[in-house]
Amino acid sequence: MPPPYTDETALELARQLAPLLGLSDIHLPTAIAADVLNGAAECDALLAGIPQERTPAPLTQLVPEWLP
Amino acid sequence: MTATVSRRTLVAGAAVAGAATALAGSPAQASPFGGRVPDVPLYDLEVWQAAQLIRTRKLSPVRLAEATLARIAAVDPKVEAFVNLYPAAEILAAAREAERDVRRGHYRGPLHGITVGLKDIYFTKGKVTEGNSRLYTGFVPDFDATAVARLKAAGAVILGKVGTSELATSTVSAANNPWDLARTPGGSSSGSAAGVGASEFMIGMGTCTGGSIRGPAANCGLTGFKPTYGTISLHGIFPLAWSMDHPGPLVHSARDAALLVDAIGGEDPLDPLTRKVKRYRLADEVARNEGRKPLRGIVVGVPVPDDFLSGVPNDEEVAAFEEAVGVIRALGATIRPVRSQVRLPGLTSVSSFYDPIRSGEVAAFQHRNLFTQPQNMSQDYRNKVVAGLMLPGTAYLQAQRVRRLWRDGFLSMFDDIDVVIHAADNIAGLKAGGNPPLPRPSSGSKTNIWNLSGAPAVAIPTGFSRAERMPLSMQVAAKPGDDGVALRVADAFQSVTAHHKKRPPL
Repeated sequence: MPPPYTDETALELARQLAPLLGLSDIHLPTAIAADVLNGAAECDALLAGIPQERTPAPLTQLVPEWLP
Repeated sequence: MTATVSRRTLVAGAAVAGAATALAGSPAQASPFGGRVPDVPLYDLEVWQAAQLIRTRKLSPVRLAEATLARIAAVDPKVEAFVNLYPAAEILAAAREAERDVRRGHYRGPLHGITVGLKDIYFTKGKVTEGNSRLYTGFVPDFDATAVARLKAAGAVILGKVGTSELATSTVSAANNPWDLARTPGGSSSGSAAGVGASEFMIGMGTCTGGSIRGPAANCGLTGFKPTYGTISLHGIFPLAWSMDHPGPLVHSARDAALLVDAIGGEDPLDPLTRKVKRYRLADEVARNEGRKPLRGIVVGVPVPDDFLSGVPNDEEVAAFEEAVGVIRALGATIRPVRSQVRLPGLTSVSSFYDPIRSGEVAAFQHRNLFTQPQNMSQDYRNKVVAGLMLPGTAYLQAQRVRRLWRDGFLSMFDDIDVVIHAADNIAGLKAGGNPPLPRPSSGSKTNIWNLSGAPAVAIPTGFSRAERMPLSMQVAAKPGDDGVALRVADAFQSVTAHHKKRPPL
């Protein structure tokens, strides 16, 4: 797993992605919650540790299947 | 006007007195709760108490509205719950209509004539709905949220819009905690909590994506209920994160919460995420609490000492909770130690999937506004939208896959118990900061887990901090769909304790 993002590296990533996302200076954030990016990376790593054929489908049914 | 307007005074002068029982509401519509109504100022009554008086025409909705308006005039300059208090003439007209209906035998149910404040993210036809966001300055919806339409149909008297954090997540509202005006009521349903806490209305409608009902309720000594996901329609409410947003009430008691859900919950064709339940009957389930041991047969889980749910930093919260466990045991419940599966190996916390899901959903709703009017978002809100925009679609789906994995393990806790109870983390913080240091850190959020799982959870007061003279709280949670059981436990606790009856000395 790559090193976790810090607030600074997360912000740098935002600057790099800005042209791709259509963001100009006025849209750019002053801070990005590095936790969001790190959380996403942790989710990836967790799923990668499960045999692919056993990985879960996304939660799309928000009302559990046992309820009306 | 303060606590000098007593129920006795107003009842004596009520214009609708007389011939009380002949035109009372039909038994099918009436609240199942009966009993002695305390002699307190009208605005301090619980919903089920006022409903009993209105149905039997011992209390006029107009007198209730008048007393409430006087209360608002007296305390709202300090509490600042309202961002848009409707004109008195309009409120009184709604109350008069409610009164006429009662007089004509058209009693609409337990919310008839009951006063309500709406978090300013509920759409209100013809009324400004701004969500504490410059994006929506002057926005006037041309329809009511389903929840609002159902409140009106139930005869509720809507007083206006109350403060919220910016679109339920960022810049805080101006509202103050009625127990200590230097403290926050918490967010994001700030005005809903402050207003009910200050007795400015009986029901504060809130929404909750990670704790925005139960947190403020705990801070203000209230009962805050987040029902099972999909119980109350989200149609016509500004979304924060659709898959975790839950509308719900902030009230004084579990009974009041049950009555509210029964009145406005249920399937809504305009919200495909609502459960396929026509109408709920939670109040009937709560009313099954009878006798000295009403919880006999109910198994209540209490987290073991080293469990995530026991990781509470405030000693007084812990002490009040331990006392509450004793009360619930004495009410006949079987207490069983449980270990929750909140932590998933490999993840720092549930935020590892909560945050990407929330960010992705916020960005989906707001990215167009980010491009067209970024100046109308606070910097904090803009940062949140951009964070979601940066995540690839696969990251969102990966988080939802992990959420499913986590949910199945987490909810397995209810294989052996009916409900779980646990203490809240902290008391309300000082707005200016400077809270006393706590003996240990929290294990993490004890509210967003119930949003992620979609399970019902109700926060109820458990006592008062001796050190800071502020309310303490715990949560009662159950498996999705078992809302009635969670409320039964909360109601039984409230039937033998008085924490929820305390009112701040404003």
